[in-house]
Amino acid sequence: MTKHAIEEQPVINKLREEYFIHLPEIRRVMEYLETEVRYHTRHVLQGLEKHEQLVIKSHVKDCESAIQSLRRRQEGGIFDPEKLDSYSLLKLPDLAGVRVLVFPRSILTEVDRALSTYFVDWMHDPVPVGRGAMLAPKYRGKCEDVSRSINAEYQIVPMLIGLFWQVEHAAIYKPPPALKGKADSAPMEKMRADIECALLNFEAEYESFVRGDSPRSSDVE
Amino acid sequence: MKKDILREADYRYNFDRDIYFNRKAKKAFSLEFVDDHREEELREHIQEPTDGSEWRYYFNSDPSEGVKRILEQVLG
Repeated sequence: MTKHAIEEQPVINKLREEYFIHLPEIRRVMEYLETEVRYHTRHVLQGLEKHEQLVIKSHVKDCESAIQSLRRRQEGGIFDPEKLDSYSLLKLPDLAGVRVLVFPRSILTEVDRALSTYFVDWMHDPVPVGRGAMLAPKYRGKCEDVSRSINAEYQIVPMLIGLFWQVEHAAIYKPPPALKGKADSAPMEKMRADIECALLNFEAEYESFVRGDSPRSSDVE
Repeated sequence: MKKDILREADYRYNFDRDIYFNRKAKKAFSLEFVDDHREEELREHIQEPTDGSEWRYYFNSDPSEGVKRILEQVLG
């Protein structure tokens, strides 16, 4: 965790208090969003072949992650003690979230279509890969039936990539203090991109095999 | 690349605060400032002379006195 200056403490105390006031509401949003995602993708789940998978995971951002996430959005990564009242965790886009993991990737489009028909007003904010192509569709919005203040997001991720992210997120994106500045170095960044590319290529090859195409060596740009 | 320009001028990156800093020159650049300015502008700011008595901050929004105090603690 980032060591904060003592002058930032009043801001952090205020944000912690705000978090726990809103926590029941954040949980309601998470449960509502998960339920809606499950409902609107049930036809995909029911039609899966034996080799296909669809897994839905939901999460609530924990208090310290939320505070750090808001802090990283400030220039210089500092909470200005003179602007105590201007900070709110409700500005974060992802206090509650759902991730839909799919395998193989061909299911992704079907799930995306089913959900975007329901979440029509949600803002598309895709996760990019390589030269700007989309790795995973991601949407942000509010579940106004249960909350008008909590922002939530859902994303649809190729399963192999999603499972890799689970490990990589803790090790690289939020590394232990001793690894800060080392774990996200340029060589690690390249390896990360290479792994994502290899996983996408694996899926492409697998899908080609399932479809009965002739063997090929695919390269995802 | 901007990152290389800063590295060549002996700027280090603070991963907690997302700023590039050089203790000898007593200058600090926010990541946002670096992103929003051209390489040539960055070079000019790196070369700007200072008397070295206090830190100079290159931020998109001028940091308040409170933020400057915290940055001085962080940067040493």
